[in-house]
Amino acid sequence: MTALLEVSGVSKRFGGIRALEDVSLEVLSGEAVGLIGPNGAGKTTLFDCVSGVSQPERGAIYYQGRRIDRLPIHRRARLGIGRTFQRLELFTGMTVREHLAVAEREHSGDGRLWKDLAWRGGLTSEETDSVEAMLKELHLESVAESPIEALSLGQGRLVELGRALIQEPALLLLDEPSSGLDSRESAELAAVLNQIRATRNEAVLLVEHDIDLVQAIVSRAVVLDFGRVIASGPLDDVLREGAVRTAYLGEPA
Amino acid sequence: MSQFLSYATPGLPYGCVFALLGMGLVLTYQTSGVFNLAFGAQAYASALVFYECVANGWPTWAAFLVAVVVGAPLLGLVMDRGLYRFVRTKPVLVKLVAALGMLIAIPAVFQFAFPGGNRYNPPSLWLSPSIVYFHLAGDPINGSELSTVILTAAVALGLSLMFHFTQAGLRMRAIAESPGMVELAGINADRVGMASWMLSSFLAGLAGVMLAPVFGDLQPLNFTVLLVAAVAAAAAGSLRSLPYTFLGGIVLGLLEELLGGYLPSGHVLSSGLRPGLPFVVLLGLLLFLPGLRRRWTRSDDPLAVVRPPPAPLASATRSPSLRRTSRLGTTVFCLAFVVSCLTWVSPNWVFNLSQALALAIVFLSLVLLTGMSGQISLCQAAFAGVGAFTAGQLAVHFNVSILVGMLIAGVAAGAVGAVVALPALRLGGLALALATLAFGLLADNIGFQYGWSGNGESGISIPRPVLGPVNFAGDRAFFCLTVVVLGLCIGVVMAIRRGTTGRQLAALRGSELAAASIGINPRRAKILVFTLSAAIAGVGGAVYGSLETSVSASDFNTLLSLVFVVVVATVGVYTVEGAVEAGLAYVVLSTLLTSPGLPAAWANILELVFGAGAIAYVLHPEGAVEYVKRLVVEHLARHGTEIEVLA
Ligand SMILES: Nc1ncnc2c1ncn2[C@@H]1O[C@H](COP(=O)(O)OP(=O)(O)OP(=O)(O)O)[C@@H](O)[C@H]1O
Ligand SMILES: [Mg+2]
Repeated sequence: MTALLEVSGVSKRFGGIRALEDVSLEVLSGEAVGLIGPNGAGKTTLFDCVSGVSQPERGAIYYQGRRIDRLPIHRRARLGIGRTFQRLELFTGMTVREHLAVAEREHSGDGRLWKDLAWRGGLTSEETDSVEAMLKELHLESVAESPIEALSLGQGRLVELGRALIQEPALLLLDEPSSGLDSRESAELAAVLNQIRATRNEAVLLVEHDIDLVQAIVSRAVVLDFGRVIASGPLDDVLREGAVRTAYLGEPA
Repeated sequence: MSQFLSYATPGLPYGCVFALLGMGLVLTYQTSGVFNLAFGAQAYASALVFYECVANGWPTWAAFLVAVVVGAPLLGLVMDRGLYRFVRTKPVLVKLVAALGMLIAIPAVFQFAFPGGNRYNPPSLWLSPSIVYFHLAGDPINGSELSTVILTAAVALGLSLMFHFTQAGLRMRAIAESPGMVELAGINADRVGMASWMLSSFLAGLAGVMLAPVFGDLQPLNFTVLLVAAVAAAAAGSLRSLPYTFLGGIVLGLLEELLGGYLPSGHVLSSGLRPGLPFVVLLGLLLFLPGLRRRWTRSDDPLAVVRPPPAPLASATRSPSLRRTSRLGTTVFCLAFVVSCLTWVSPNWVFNLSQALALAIVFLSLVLLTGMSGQISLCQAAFAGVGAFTAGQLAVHFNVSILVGMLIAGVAAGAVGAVVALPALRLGGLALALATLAFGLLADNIGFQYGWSGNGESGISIPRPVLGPVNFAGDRAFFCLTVVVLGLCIGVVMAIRRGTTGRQLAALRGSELAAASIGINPRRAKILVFTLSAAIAGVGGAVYGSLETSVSASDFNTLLSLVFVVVVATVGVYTVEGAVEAGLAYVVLSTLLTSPGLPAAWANILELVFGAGAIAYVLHPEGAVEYVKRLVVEHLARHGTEIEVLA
């Protein structure tokens, strides 16, 4: 079986910094993979290369067997790659419900200009249902009408998650979903993520520093350090490796 | 070769002036982030003061002292303290509107202060323009050319000494070269900004006084158009390098005269392309100089984006009863307005109000473009012109009904808009504004000059439509038509706002990155809105033209585009009502101020009002109308209670 996502030999520099150096990894469909590593290891940069925010200098990225590393962001999104951002990227001035509505509309592909002009640009009943269901799944009903600026960081992360999930991506890239959350919020997030994992079969690539959250969700992990893959395999094996403990957990070798 | 030289030589003085203006532009852009479109207006102000002083019998040196050495920096100081220092950290639209407001207000202030008709043959600064001092490559070099070159060389030398050896100069250079370093190094950006405004204003004043004799006639428009040459020079220096800007200005001046020499004289191309050259150069530089493009579109550049608008009042207040009341109020008002116009209002005023509503259609295109999608266009008047001339030519030559013509006008303007948008939207922000400015001036100077388009100053006639038994020739009948077309256009804009496209635009304004990551194509959405907006402007132009029954190129000149942006921004660019209110405010004010019996200088008050409005805009970007409404609602909330106002 071919991998859903195949990153092969990707390198990316920023000036003198080698953010990624010959990185290869695979994600099978429906699989949850952890991408871990210390600060500045290149995790976000890898996400950016996969989702199209930046272009790798060398290497190739295949998704569903198709080479995607020259496609613009929105084309990759339409192919089924959804993501969240380490620094929240929300639509200022819109409510939570509107966030989900705009994502749902892109997903259903129902937005023709003539429909707008014929005053038929509103959501269809199926779309409304799907927005309601997502609000419920993420426990966001109570803030559905709030402008995004009024939300807590944790709720903001959930909105980003919902915005990606409502498009039913085949591959979901989560960039530190628990950063900035307190322990209660993190636990809630883990519960939500697990429930989602149980009910859907999206593949997940998870960047996360909170090792408990990683353990709760992924079975396999890839470890980056200074832009290189230093280990990969089943999570428990990876966490036992000396190099990983030094790089990631800060333990002496 | 000698012919080449003889064509090129007269370009040198122009080049010198472009260079001076360009350097002033770079200086203030780097130190305050404001792209000072009012630069030409400052040059005009100094030239005017100089003219008046000399006309009153002052010696030239005293006039120079007052107009350029003291007056110009003073003007720069006032502008910086009064306006520009507040906009340093504001989004690009605010900066642009502030500068446009000054562009409109400054000449008005000075014309108001020094009333009087045409001013011909402005005095020259130093050497007499009527004396030929020597010949270069066969060209007679007169005093004004010689003094321009000598003075520019002196100023360039002085500037470079200043930038290398004086503390103030070193600080300006520090800021210009790395704005981020300023605060770190403990330099007071505010003080340096002030100094650079004074210095650049001095350069503008000097350029204005030197250039006035070349124009032969002291007109604000001449100086405004100069601006584009200055912008092109600044673009050649990537908006950063003073030496390259200087060089760019000189080369541009030479090129312009060379073109004039080699193109057949008397042809539209030579009379149009020569003044059009700076725009062509600017467009070319914008599109093809990669460093410049990166500089202007860098996403971390605070100038690259228009900040999303404050939530309109309707969504900021959550009171169904208030919303119902305001909707009822609006409906009653609109009905009363239409009924009044059809019954007791005098025919003259019906005509004026139709004008207001036709303009409102054009303004609506700005609400769609700027209010909803955060883009800036300085060529909406040109799109309106395309619409008007399309409808007119079709009616005159092919007997196409004006009603059909209005539709085709929309399509034609939309098509032109799409052609402009395709390359220009790669730029965004300030660069998009400048590219549209260049396009507007090209349309104005060349596009509308041909017989098959706008037929230049003589213009073309556009009949009033007839639909079966209904004849719209009468002003009241045409008023009804205007109301209907405006209503349709409002319907289109509102349908877009509440539909998929509107949601996409809102998302793009909020975060372009996130919008793309859910599958929205930013480029497509922006081109779509730009095209639609141009189409609406085109329809508005056609209605306006048919109302006037004859229009010429000057009815759609670029200055109007700038005025439009300022007017709509001041009144309210984020709501549909804003466009209508802006149309009414503009036409009613200008009619009242130019009514017979008032002093001629009062006509300038209109420009003053909107110039001042630009200052208000800096403080309240939601626009005057929304601001007042909010005040009312907040007052109600304090005394009523049931209304909840979100900050
Ligand atoms: N736009 C950029 N310009 C310059 N350097 C960058 C840029 N983006 C990332 N870098 C550098 O690339 C390296 C990798 O950054 P990246 O954000 O991918 O790390 P990360 O693993 O996500 O770290 P963190 O855990 O802190 O999020 C870092 O050294 C960072 O400073
Ligand atoms: Mg990161």
